[in-house]
Order: sequence, then C-alpha cells, then structure tokens
Amino acid sequence: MSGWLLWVMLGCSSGGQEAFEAGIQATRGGEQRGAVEHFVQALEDGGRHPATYHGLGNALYRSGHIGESIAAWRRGMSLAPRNGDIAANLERAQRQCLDSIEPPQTHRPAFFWQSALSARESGLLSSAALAAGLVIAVVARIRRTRSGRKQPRRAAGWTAVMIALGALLGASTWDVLQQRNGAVVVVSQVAVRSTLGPEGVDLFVLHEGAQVGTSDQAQRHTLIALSDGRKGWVSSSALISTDPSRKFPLDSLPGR
Amino acid sequence: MILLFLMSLLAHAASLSVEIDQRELVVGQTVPLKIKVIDGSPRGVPEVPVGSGLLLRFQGQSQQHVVSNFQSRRIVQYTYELSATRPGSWFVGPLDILVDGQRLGAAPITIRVGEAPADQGGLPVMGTLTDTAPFLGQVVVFRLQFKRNRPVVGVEWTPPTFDGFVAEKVAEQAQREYSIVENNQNFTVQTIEVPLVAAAVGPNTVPPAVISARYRAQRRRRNARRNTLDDIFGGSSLMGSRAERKTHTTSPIPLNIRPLPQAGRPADFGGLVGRFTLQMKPSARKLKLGESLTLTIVLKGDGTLHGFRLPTVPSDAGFRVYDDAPEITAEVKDRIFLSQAVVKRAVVPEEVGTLTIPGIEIPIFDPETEQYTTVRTESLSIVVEPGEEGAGDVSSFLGEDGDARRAVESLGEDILPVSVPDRLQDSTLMGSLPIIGALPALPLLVWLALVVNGWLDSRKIDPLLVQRRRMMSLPKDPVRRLAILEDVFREVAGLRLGVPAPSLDADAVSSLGEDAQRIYRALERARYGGSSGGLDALAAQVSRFLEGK
Repeated sequence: MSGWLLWVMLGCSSGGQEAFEAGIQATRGGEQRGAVEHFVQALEDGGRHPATYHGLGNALYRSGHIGESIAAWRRGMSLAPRNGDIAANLERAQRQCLDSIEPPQTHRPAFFWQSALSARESGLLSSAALAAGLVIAVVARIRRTRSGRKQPRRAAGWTAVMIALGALLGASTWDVLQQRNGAVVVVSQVAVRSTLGPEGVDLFVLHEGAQVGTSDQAQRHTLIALSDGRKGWVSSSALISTDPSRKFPLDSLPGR
Repeated sequence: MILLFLMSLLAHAASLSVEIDQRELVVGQTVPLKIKVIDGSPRGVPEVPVGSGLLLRFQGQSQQHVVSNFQSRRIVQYTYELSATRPGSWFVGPLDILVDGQRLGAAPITIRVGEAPADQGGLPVMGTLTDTAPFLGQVVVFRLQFKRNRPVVGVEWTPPTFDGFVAEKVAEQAQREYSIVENNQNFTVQTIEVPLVAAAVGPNTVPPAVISARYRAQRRRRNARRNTLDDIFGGSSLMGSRAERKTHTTSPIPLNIRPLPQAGRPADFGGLVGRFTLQMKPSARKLKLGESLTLTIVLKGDGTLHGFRLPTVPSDAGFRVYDDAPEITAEVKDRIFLSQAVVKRAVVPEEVGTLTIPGIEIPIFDPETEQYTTVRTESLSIVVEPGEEGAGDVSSFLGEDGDARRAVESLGEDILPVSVPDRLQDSTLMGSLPIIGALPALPLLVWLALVVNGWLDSRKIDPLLVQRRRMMSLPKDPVRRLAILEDVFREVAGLRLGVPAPSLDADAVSSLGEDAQRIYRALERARYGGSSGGLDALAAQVSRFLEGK
C-alpha cells in the first residue's frame, strides 16, 4: 500500500522548474538560442507544462523559426486549449505561412467538449466521475448490509449515470490521444511525393509552418495527409510532431 | 338590371399571366407554356416572341368560369408547346396584347437551354468525365446519364470509387430528370453530376457505376374489364402489377491526372486551378480618418475555392485591413462547375490624403492554356479627409467638461509573453495517470471487498436450519431418536446462550426459561429412566423450543 501511495505521489511530482526559470531569464535577457535549450531541457526534466511550450515557442519565433514555434505552441494548446495567449501567438504565426491549409482536427466532432478540455482534464473528470459512481455504490452497499434491505433504485441510478459519464469522458480522452498525429513542416519548402522510391512523382509542395496530419511512418519518411484529403510522403526530418508527450527535436535548428 | 349593374361594379380589370413549368431545359426537350387572360377577351391568338434557340407551337385554346368569394371570373387559356433547339439563354416574351381595347403586357421570361443529352448509342446508362487528363487540383464533373422509354417504379445508383479524386467540399451532386422526344419516341433522361477534385497524380480508372432500376412490368391484357382498370390505375401496384428489376453498369473511364508544372510557378501560388475572374468594389470613395470602408472582393471561376483566403496586406501599406470569412458557394449544372468566393474586407486608413489601395493579385493555374497566370484587380484611390478627432485641436478641449481621453494607439504587434506559473508540473495525461488511476481504484477496492464479504456471508450455513433438518428426519429407533433429540436441544440451547453445547448443565439451561428447564429434565428422565414412551411428545417440545415458540 505504501509503495502504491509512493508511486502516486511520484507520478504527480514536478520537474524542470530550474531549467524553465533559466529559460525565462534567458528570454528576458534576449538570449533566444539559450532560452530554447533551457526550455527543451525543462521538457526533458518532466516540465511538460503549457508555459514551457509557450516560452519555447516564443524563443523559437524570435529566432526566426516559424515552423518550430508553431509546433511548440500547438503542443502548448493541446495541453491548455483555453489559453488565449498561446492561441493569439499561434494565429499570428499562421498568418505568416504561405500554405493556406486547415490544421488537422484534434478530436472527433461528437466529442465537442474536447475543444475546451485537454486530455489530462477530461481524463481527470472521467476518473472523478467513475470514483463518484463507485463511492455511491459503496455507500449503498454498506447501508444494505446494515439494514438488510435491497439497494434503493435512486442509488443504483446515480451509480449508472456517473459511471456512464466517466466512460464517455474516458472515450473522448482516448479519442484525443488517438488523434494526436499532427505535425508541422519546419523546412522552408518540401516536395511531397506520391510514393517512396524513384518511381514517385512530386504531388505538391509544402512550406514552413504548414500543419498536416500523419498516417504512416517508414524508416526516414512519413505519410502525411492534408485536411483537403491529399496525401503523400515527405522526409521525416522536415516535420515536428505536435504531440506534447513526444520529445521536441532540436536537430532541425541551424547551428546544431 | 340592378343585379347586372352590381355585377358590373364587382367585375375585375382584365389581367394577363404567362405560366411555364420549367425554365431550365436541354436541347430536344419540350414543355407546355400557358397564357391566361383573366376577365378579358383578347382578339385572336396572342403572338409570343421567342429567342432563336426556342421553338413555340400553338396547341389550342380553352375557356372556363371560376367562382371564388362570390365573384365570377372568366379565364381564357392559350396552350403552346415550347421546344429547346439550341443551347444558351433565350427569352420568351415580352408579351403585349390588346384585350377589350386595353393593352396588357407581361415581362420576358429567361429560359436556359443546356446541351442535349450525350448520345448513348443504345446503351441505357453512360458515365462521362468532363476531362480525362486533368491537372492536379482541377475540378472535373462525373456525369451519369440514364435514358429510358419505359416507366420505372424506382431507381437506385451506386457511385463508383473515385480513386485519385476527392469530393468537392462546397458543391453538392446535382440530379435532374426531364423528357425528350427522339425519333417520335418519348424518353425520360435522368442525370447525376458529381464534382470532383483531382488529388493524386498518375494514371487511374473510374470503375463502373451501377444503376438498379425497377421497371413497371409489361403485361398481356386478358380482358376488357382488366384493360379498363389498368387504364384507370395506370398499371399501378394497386392493381397488383409487378416490377422488373434490372441492373445497368457504365463502362470504366481511364484517366491520367497530370502534375502542375514546376516551370513558371509563382512563389505565392496558393493552389487555385481553373479559370477565374476577380472583382473588387469599394463601399465609398471618400471617408474621414477613423472611419472604415468595405471592399467587396468577388472571385469567380470553375475551380474549387475551398480553403481560399485573400493575400495579406503588408504592415506599411498605410491602411489596415480586417477580412471576414469568405462566403464560398459552388454548384454544378450541365457538366459545368461554377464557384464563387465573396470576401468583405474592412479597410481602415491610417493617414489623411489620397489613399491608394493596390489591386489584389492572385496567381492561378489555367488548365486550358496549361500556364500559370495572375488574376488581378485595378488599384483604387480613396480620399481620406481629416476625422473628427484628428481635425480638432486637442488643446482646445483642455479645461472643458468633455472627456478628452482618446483610444490608446497601437504602434505595432508582437507575440504575447509567457505567464510564469508558481509551480511547473507535467500537464500531460501520462503525468496525471497515477491520480487518474488512484481516484476510482480506492472506492473500487472497497466495493470489491464488500461484494466478496457479502458473497462469503451468503455461503455460511444456518445452524438452526441444520437442526431443523435433523428434526425432520428423526429415526424410529427410540435410543437413537432420544440421542438426536438431546443433541438438537443442547445445540440450540448452546447457540442461544453462546456457549459450546457440551458444557451445558441444568443451571445454564434454567436461564433460558421454564420450558427449556422442563425439556432438559424430561430428556434426563428419558435417558436415565429408560422410558421411551413419551418420545413423540418430547420431540414436539424440542421442535417448539427450536422455533422459539
């Protein structure tokens, strides 16, 4: 039991505070390159917080890396969908992109509440609803044991409602995790080809900052899909994922 | 006389109307056209002028009286047959006829005539594609044509899989049905048109589309009575007619989607493929500083405009712009795809003087010339006069009671800074997984424990039930019978006192009451006295004690 409690506490512990503060100081001092490295370090230390991605996106934007900044802010938005500051920055950066394409959807339209809730928040709500349903069931069971009477219908109804709510929120959380296949183009332009190998042809060209969905992965290439249905293969090094739980690659930045 | 006088007062003035069922025809199609003269007597058959792509034939004349709201009306109707002979837009009318010395007129009606249905060469269905070698991003229209000269009860179609294409997202597929006459035979033509956007370069094939039609069965007429009934109900299902189902398929269509050429591709090419026109119209040519004007920008063409956005304006243009979301509409008709985007752009000048709004330039690829080109609008000159705030001397407002404040002027735009949190923590789902798991796990464990406990309780055997069963199967042998009675009594007494049965004695039993003492003594007597005559009565006493009576 104590081991389990320790695991729970360790799971909720924070990390990356020092690196994050160093990143903030570097930003205020105008050292954008240093700030980027500090923020990435904070992420690797466990500080996957919207503010870290916000700061990283700002530092990348000021360094002139529009594509990478969009990827960082997209990650921040998926952790904090109601954060207006990150949304404003993202909107500003998107206006500077050449390609007019809609970003891939982050959830199914049926789970509309996920536009305002992060996967963590909906997961916690799902967990709380399930817990509430089970607590009601436990209380009803104890009363039944003591009184010897059957479980009242009202308690059974509330248990069913809360467990159904928890299951629905759990399903929407799962959907958000499944739809985290977005990526951003981080090179100035890249040709998207119909197939891997010499027999493929160039289908279209994407420019820095274009937001696409990914649907398959080869050794060095990724199959991307645009919101208008067009698909093609592109070099994986030209993309950065918008999934906040993935490592943020710094290899694409010049000078590294 | 009085009645006639009143009737004449109530009489309406003569009027004229022209009725036509359809205003969109195809070459070869014929529809009825009716001219009605109400409460008037025209001289002769009205002459109706029609465009050179139409043919009008007079069919006949009829007359009727209609009484409505206690008023009688006389309607003279002239019926014509209007046939379409050439594609284009043609007028019917205007009409100008003399009725009872009064000239009556009707405005012209526009009739749009499309191409005749494609020659199917005897095949019932045919699938066509407007271009079998389109460029990537070009819109093509797939048309399915079903021509028949037999009545059908129902038609279902299964569209083919359009590999290499994506559906045009704004326009919907168009369906149409009309009748034509060919070789003195009436045909019904049904068309379905699907707009598609070429999306994958390379050779491909549109597989066959399938049409499943239920034809009304042709039956041999057996007798005159049946003939009459068939005529009344038109051979409908009311009279038990049967339908004959037939499936028709189109031929596959080979095609090759070509890539857009790299040569000559403008750097700001946004992917518009087709022939387009661009217009820009301002809401005003003169305004005051601080006011805004609206530019209405219309882009029309035969390519898809899904996701279209106007090019941005540089920050040093001398004015700011705020664009509404484009209103994009599209339709497909007679194998022609037409789309239109209307954007309302609010323009806010930043300084007084003559403001020149540069023309908008949008690079496109024209599939007909196979070249990149640019559609553009002319630049506009707008006169910006001093505004209410800018014109006045600000110092003149000092000392007055009015609010002298003004809006904070924006000098530039930039990204928003980070709000530093008090404590940084992992905000991903994985970071909160322990809590997410622990929250329901705790009550779940308690609930499971309660369920298991209840289950174990339900498996415990009731000791009184065991004794009851023993009492129900007492042996006939008096010695064994007495032993069991004594054992049952001791077990039940022990259970009630909460002590083991072997340790029971007379003192302990006395605390259970008179009846228990009596049974105890009777059992002692029976055991040591050797009497077994009253065992049945004793068994009855033990049973009552067992049930607590």
